[in-house]
Amino acid sequence: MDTVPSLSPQPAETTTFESQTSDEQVLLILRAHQITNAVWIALATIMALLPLVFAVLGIITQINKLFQISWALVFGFLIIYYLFIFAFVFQSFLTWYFNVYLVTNKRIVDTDFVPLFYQKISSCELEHIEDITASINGFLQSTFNFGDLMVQTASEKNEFRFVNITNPEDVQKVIEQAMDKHNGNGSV
Amino acid sequence: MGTDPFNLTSLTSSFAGLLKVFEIVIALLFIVYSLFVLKEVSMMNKALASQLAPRLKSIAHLQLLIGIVAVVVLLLILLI
Repeated sequence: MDTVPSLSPQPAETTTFESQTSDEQVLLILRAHQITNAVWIALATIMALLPLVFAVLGIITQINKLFQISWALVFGFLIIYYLFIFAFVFQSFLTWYFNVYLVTNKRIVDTDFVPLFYQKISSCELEHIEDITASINGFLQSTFNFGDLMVQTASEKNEFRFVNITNPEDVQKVIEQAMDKHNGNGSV
Repeated sequence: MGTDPFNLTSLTSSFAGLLKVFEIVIALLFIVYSLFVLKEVSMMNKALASQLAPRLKSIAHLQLLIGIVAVVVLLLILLI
């Protein structure tokens, strides 16, 4: 079965995972759509520019002459402030990057990850999948063609939810084709 | 302009040393945080090996390095 590069943000064939078996092939690597990162990127940009805005305002209003805070203290505060922004950006990126959904020719794998707080990897064999529902709701999801995919299973974890993935309807087809092939009901 | 009617200068200078120490403590906590992030990135890279894995580890190292540099700079500021 061929991999589907158009649906994966990176080539699926170059990615491996820890519990992968020797005859298991990664078909899809799915993450939340890139547009979902816009919020934290915008927030980080505003936060990064905020000291500059305050500096300009301080110069214009000359309020800095009234307070006369030492440059060392302000410089130290700025160092800490930008450390926080760096950490926020990196943590947000890691959260996006490692919250990944894999579709292989044998199973689906859901990795939930929040740095320092939470990490959970669940998987379900393709034969245990009972129902797949793709949904695209709202203006933003319709415009950028992303949405959720609900996978009902008969395994320990009853429901796998692929959140904000690109093109959920095509992903649904790929999983169904993989199921057909895995269960010997069709060819892909 | 240039006057200090509320005597704010002396008020801020009395807290300046304390705030500088506080900044160093925060920067040290940032180093600890960076070490945890580095560990988690290594762990996740092992769980999911991808093309970006070495770069992510490099950024995690960079974050740690930035934290160390920040502590050094803040210590220098404290000593000045």
